[in-house]
Formats: sequence, C-alpha cells, structure tokens
Amino acid sequence: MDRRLQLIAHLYDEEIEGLEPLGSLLEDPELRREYEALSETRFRLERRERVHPDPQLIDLVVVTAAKDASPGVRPERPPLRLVRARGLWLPAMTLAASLLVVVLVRPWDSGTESMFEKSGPTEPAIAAAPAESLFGTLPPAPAPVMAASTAETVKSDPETDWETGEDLRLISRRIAALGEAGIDAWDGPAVPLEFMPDGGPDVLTPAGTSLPRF
Amino acid sequence: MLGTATIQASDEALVAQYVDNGDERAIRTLVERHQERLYGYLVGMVRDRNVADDLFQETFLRVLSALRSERASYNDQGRFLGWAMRIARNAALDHLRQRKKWQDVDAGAEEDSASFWEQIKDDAPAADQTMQETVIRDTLRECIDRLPPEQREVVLLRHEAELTFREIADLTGVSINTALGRMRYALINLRKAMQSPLTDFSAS
Repeated sequence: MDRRLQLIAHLYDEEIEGLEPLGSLLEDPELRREYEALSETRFRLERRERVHPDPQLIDLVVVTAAKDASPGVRPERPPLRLVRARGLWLPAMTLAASLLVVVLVRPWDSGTESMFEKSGPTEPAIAAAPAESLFGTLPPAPAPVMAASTAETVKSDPETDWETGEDLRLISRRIAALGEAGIDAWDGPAVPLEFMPDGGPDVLTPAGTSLPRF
Repeated sequence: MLGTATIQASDEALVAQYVDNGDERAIRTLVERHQERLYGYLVGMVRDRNVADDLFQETFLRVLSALRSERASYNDQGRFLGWAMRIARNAALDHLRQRKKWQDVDAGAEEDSASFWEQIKDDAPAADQTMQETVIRDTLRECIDRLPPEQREVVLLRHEAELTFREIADLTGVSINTALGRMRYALINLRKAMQSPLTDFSAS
C-alpha cells in the first residue's frame, strides 16, 4: 500500500494488515508534514457539531414501527396489496361464471333436456340395438353412472321405453333380412341399394326416399 | 421509560426484540442510537434538512419493512448500522440522481491515474490562527459541501456515520485503497479550502 495511504490508515486507526509502523513513516519529513496537516483537518472535522433530526420525526418512525408490528398488519405496501386484490378477483369471477354455466346446462341431468340431447334420439338407438341383435346376448352392462334414479323412474323414462317397443322389433327384422341375403359379408361385391332385399314397407329403403322413424 | 436492559442491548438483540415481539421500545432505542449517524450523513449528502427529514423517514420505513418481511436481507453477522446505512445511501443517491446531482465514478480509472486534486498546488496562505472556532466550523461545513461528491461521501461516512474504511469500501463498492485515497484528497482539499474559502471545488 502507498505510504501516504498508510498515513491515512494510521490517522483513523484503521486496522489493516501489513501497515508500516507510524514512527517509521514519520521519519520521512514530507510524510511528517502531511500527517501533521491532515491531523489538524481531521481534528476540526471531529469538532463539528452533530446534527439531529427533529424529535417528532423519531416519534413518527416509532409510531409507524409500532403499527407495522401489530398482529396481522403488514408493512406499508399499498401497491402490492392492490395487485394482490386484483389477482384474486379475476380468477374468482371466472370460476363463478363457469359454475353458473355448468348449473344452467346440467349435463349430468338426463331427465331434462340439455345441450347433449339436441344431437337427436337416434344415437342411443343405433348404439344399443345392433349390439343386442348381433351378439345374441349383451355383454355385462356397465354400472349405471347416474344411480340416483329409482326403478320406477327408469320404467317411465321415455328415453328407455323404445327398447321394448315396436321400433326394436323392426330393427331386428331388418338385420335378419340383411343376414339372410348375405350382403353383410365384407368381401362381397358392391350392390346398389335398389337391389337390396325388400323386407316390407318398413324395411330398408334407398336413402332420401324416406327417413326411418323411431 | 426505556429499561436499562433495552438501552444496553446490542443492535442485533434490539432487532430481534422488534421482529419477534413487536417491541416498540426496541425500535425507538435503535433509531435514537443511530439517528445522528444516519441523519448527519443524509444532511451532508443532500444539503437540505427538509429533504434529509424525508430521506431519514424513508430510510427507516425501508428498514422496518425489510426487517418485518424480508429479514433475510439483514445479516445478523454484520453491523446493523452498515446495513441501515446502505439503505440510507440508496435513498440519498436515488434522490440525487433524480436531480442529476450525482454521477458514479469509475473507481478503477481513479486509482490508475493521478487525481486532479493531487495536482493542485498548496500555495494558499497560512490559516488565520485568530479565526473564531464557530466561524471555522461554518466554513468547514461549506467546504465539505463543495467537495467532489465521492470525496464528500467518504468524509460523511467516516465522520458522521462513523464507519470504518473497510465498511466504506464495501458500501460504496470500491477498494479500501480507493476509500483511503478519497479521504486523503478530501482532507487535503478541505485544508486548502479552509485557507482559501473561495476555492470552487465543484467547478472540476
């Protein structure tokens, strides 16, 4: 370290390793003069009056500290608090709106009309009837998803009445007729629809001529 | 009335009393213990007591906020004063930068090249020994105000905040040699200014 800087370190009693002893430094007349001059300035600096803050300022800080130290009170951070409030408000509103939509639509309630029923009543008929007719016996029925309905309710449910009605018999007859004619073989030649066996007025008809009614 | 135990407690113990128990007396003791150091530094830096009042309050609000919510930023191993002084310094520099009265100095360049202040000839006449002490003190304050900012800050940190040069170096982000060098130039310039009060250091 520069000897002049070492002089400053000695002047302020700074503990630094490797400093030359002050006596050794002051053997240099130039350093001695500088040391004496700077000592005088330092002495004047240390005799300066200290400045104090207004006692009310101290009280204000302490009052703020006491308020912040109260249980449940966080330090003053109003902007952060606002951000937090906004951050909670939006997701809460979104969740509430989603719940409202779900309650209004009620997709789980098959006893009332819902958006899922608008695809038409033919879907359950097509899905269920061939399975019973083609395999002879139905695979084990899956456990009912909606078990809240009583047996009586199921009997009177118009959605399930078709299974025992005339429609089911008609579908069975059509499948049997197609099977006898052998046109259900996958590797057979393509046959125009007009040449299909006619099982009667309610049996298979060309597309567009009439729509099956269930 | 503050208890003797509170008054004699270390800074770290007072911080713990405040953070853990919300002890108002602990924080009052801490503020009163360091008020002169922090306030003296702030007044010297901004040279306006009203602004210093605001910055003093802001410093302790930041200190309290950090103690309550981010105590990790306060290292129990270090001195509370050094930590609080860093917060005060940031507040002061923010204020000065907003008013474009502070410009960071490249410490490396300063160490490598001869300072302007080093080259000033000390040919001022000898100080008038009969000058009143009060006049000297007032003059000294004015001379400190006219020092280059980095020298003024070292004087304030050493004489007002009573930090060691190692702490000053750490706080201001310079080597201890730079901190000692700035102090040396500050003392030389103050001596010259006291002998020739019209010297305008800020013109540099």
